[in-house]
Amino acid sequence: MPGRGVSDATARDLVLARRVLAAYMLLRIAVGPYSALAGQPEELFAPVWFLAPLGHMPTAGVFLVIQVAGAAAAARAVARPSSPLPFAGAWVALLVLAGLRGSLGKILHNDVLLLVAAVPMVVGWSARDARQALAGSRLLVGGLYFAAGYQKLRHTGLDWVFSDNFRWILYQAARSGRAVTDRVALFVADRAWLATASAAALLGAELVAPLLLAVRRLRLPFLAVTIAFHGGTWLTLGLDYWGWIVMVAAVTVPWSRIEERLGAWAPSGVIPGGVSAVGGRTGP
Amino acid sequence: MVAAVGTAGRRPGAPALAAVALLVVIAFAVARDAEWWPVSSMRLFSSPRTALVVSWDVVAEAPGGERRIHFAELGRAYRGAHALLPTMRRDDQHERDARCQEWARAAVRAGYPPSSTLRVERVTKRLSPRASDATLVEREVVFRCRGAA
Repeated sequence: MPGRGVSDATARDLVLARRVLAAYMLLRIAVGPYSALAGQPEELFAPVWFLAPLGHMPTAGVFLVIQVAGAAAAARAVARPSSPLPFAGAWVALLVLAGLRGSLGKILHNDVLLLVAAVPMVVGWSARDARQALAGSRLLVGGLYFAAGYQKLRHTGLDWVFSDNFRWILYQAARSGRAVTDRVALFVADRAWLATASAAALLGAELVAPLLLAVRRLRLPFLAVTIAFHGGTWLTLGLDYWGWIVMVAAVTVPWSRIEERLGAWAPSGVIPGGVSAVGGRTGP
Repeated sequence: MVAAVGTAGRRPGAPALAAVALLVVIAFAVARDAEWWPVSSMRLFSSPRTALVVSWDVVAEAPGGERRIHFAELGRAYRGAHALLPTMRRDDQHERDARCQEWARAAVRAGYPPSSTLRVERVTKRLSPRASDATLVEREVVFRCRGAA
């Protein structure tokens, strides 16, 4: 039976959240262009702190081994999300691969939210831990979004919204040619009122994220905001933050309720502690 | 805070403790603008942007002329060059030469002419909203280093 105070639905939510994250990690590990990093000369290696002992970028063969092992672990975690080791193995593989990508010199944030906020789900995999794992991940998601908003206020102040700051972000992005089109960035940047409104919405969403995640009824609206936010980032800046959307979805969507409505698309009876059925209506 | 994450009436377990410990580390990183990846100070687009943009050029000097190195042409493993350049002015000449020689060798492999010296410049430009060309404001030679001639 699940731990005291942990409903079957919450335990099932954790299992399905882990499945969603594992599926994303599988994709990220399997299709990432990591082996192209292998040719980096030792003199240019600028490792993130925990990879410093390596001394240089691994060979293409080592990348392949990590990718194959990580993808296998992630695939296993998709099939059996309540097993602790495959999920942890996939997380470690993504941590190492993304860390090596970030060892070219530039700090990359694409995988930061998932890697940090998934930690409570890595260490809390049993039904007994379900509520704490989901709440802990939500706390970290909210904390990281808040930190991003706080840093904008700290380093630029309200000028981040009320000056031409946001317009120049978009104009510079349009010049970079990184996005699939420059039309969206230029459409917003050319209209000062729209740029200011977009900047205000973006900063506001980051700052109130912990509150939105704390209130159950506001979690799905927050997911909608992040889809618009990161979808907009991809369209205007060409930056890939899909992992952030997946992480937010993992801790906001009442997966067990969806599963209940769609029918059993996931194998049941796999939750440690003996939870074998979807119970009440306690969403995440 | 741990109790808030933990289940009421139950001792906080590993997930709650891990979440709170990470949150504390994140708060330190934010306060110090430190990057302990994947723990980040979250300075995403936090610096103000204006019409003035600063970039770094690496120019290969060769007897037949000079040519700016486009790092995107050298392959994915060399794409971090622009993030390394701003801090290289603090490195000693030996370390700069070691990095520059690797860039120069990769440039030759990518079809650039061999160069004995690389010149690293900090370039400030003023952008116009719609114009494709930017106006040069300042071009400062920050250092020179050894190429791969």
